[in-house]
Amino acid sequence: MKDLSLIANHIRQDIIRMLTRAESGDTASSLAVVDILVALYFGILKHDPRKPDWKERDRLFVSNGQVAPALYATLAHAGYFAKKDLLTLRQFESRLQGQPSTLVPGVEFNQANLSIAIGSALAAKMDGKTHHTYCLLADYEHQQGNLWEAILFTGSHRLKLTTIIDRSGIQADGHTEDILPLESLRKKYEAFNWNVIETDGHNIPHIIEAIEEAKNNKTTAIICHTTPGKGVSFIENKVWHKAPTKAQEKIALAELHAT
Amino acid sequence: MQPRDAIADGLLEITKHHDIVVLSPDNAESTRAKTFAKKHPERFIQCGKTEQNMIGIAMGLAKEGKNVYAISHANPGRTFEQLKIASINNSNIKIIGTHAGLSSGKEGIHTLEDISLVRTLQNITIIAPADAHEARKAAIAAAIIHGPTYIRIGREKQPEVTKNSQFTIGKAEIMTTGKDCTIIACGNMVHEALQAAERLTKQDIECTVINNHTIKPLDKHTLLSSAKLTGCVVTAEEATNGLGNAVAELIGQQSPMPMRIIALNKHGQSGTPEELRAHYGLTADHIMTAVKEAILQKCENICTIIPEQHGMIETSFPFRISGGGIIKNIPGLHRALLTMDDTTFLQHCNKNKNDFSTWIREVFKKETLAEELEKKKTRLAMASTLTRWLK
Repeated sequence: MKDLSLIANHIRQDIIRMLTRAESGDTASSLAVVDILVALYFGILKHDPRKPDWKERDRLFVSNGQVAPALYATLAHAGYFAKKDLLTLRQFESRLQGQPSTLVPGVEFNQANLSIAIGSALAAKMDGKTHHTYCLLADYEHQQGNLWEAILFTGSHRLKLTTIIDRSGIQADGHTEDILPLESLRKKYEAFNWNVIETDGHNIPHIIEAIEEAKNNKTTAIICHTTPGKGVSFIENKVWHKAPTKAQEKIALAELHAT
Repeated sequence: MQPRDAIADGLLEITKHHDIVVLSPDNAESTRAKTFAKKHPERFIQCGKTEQNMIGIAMGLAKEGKNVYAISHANPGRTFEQLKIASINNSNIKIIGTHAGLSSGKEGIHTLEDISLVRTLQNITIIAPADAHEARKAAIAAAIIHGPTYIRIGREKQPEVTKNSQFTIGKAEIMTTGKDCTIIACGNMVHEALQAAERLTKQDIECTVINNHTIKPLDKHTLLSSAKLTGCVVTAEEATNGLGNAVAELIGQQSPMPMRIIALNKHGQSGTPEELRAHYGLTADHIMTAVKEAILQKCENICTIIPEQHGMIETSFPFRISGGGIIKNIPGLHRALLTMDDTTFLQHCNKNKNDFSTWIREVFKKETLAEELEKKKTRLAMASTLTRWLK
């Protein structure tokens, strides 16, 4: 597991470099989900970077599009494409679009959401497939009505589907509990007939354990408690939906012990 | 047969060959999705009222290779965000919108803006079938094309107009041909357009009627060729200007000409569909008026293009209009017809004689034109014929 932490650290460094170069993008949210993505791509998902369209692969639908830099960096580290491409993030004519794009190998859908993950999981169920479907969501997305349509629907269907929630507690205008409180998120899910597991969103072994446990249970939401900007002191716990400056990049990389 | 039943039949027919899945948001009974659900419960997903969720689910299923039909009362306003995602992903989902236009009558709430809304999205095919036969054919044809498709139908049984038609998505069908005006219609308005065209023949006005079932992608070639031949266009649809705008964009950019749009521009109210159509201007009568306006404008426009004296020999045997006035050449006759009152016209053109035709034949020796004019017994029909000739 020490190796996975090391991969996560390298991904964080890449995120800082990518966003600084792009001069835009959401640093705090991207850093927050790195350990979840590493747990998925290096510990959980049945996938093959050489065959992104492999039919038996597990599906991951990323609903919180602003973490695209973290997703792209993880995919590159997993071997889907060359790491040098990461620095083209958000550049004109790069396939690394600001929001997760199917131009990038390994990305399942443009502007995905839980409903699309449900549809994919339903198709798998109809066809007797064994793969699992995951949906990564931000906590603040739970302020949107159509997400609750999907949560209500899933609660009454037995699907091989797990949602993983990045409970970083920040959104565009501030902290979720100040903007429009979400608590108790657990009770809300339970009331919608879901199984809920809460875990530390930066402890990779715990995340893997939680996802494994979820697979054997009824439809489960894993609430991952994360720290916005995790790993960089001046971004941690801040509402920091922007890119680092050149000077900030230097400090951030030093903190991440970049060589 | 109602179009919704025809679509349900069509889907049952193709389930053998296509991996069909049908979704419904709690209106399976009224949309007839239930007909399918009874035969193939394993291929049917009841979504409850989660309509936005339903479109998302449809996209997820389609991504995994299913041929998905989401059948609901037409309401793309609610699911527009999801349709945009479908458009971006070129997701292979088929959406059937029933009870569109004024067809839900007494409910008092009507879906009118669906065609206009959906038309703004890329990649989406939009079909408004003219009757139950065409609705069935459209539902079947949609299984073969790839990409998001929106099929909108009315609630009630419509008069049959396409029983023997070939149906191809994206290929407009010419139902009748005429030289005076092109009427481009979709959905139930195709029948009204045919009625209007038939009644106009009694006034010697001949129309081309096109069943433009596919609003997107538009069959530009067929529409434009016909419009250029007739020199004016009327569109007719039971919706806000969806078809009308599509045709206006085409005509405005490729071949500007007089045009009238018959469409809905007001929210509806309770009433029978017939009462509402009469009130909101969606009948054959309204189409007839629009056709005559468009033809008149076409005739007037030619006056500015062709000066009265230009290139036309003035005769020394002028036409003397009853009650005063002299016509010296053919453009002059054209102009006089546009301003002449009907009583004067009837003194020269009635069942016993056609002075205009006789004058053209004897003075100008234009036999073909004279023959054509001889058949026309109304001012507008005669002016339209002269407009074509002058061009």
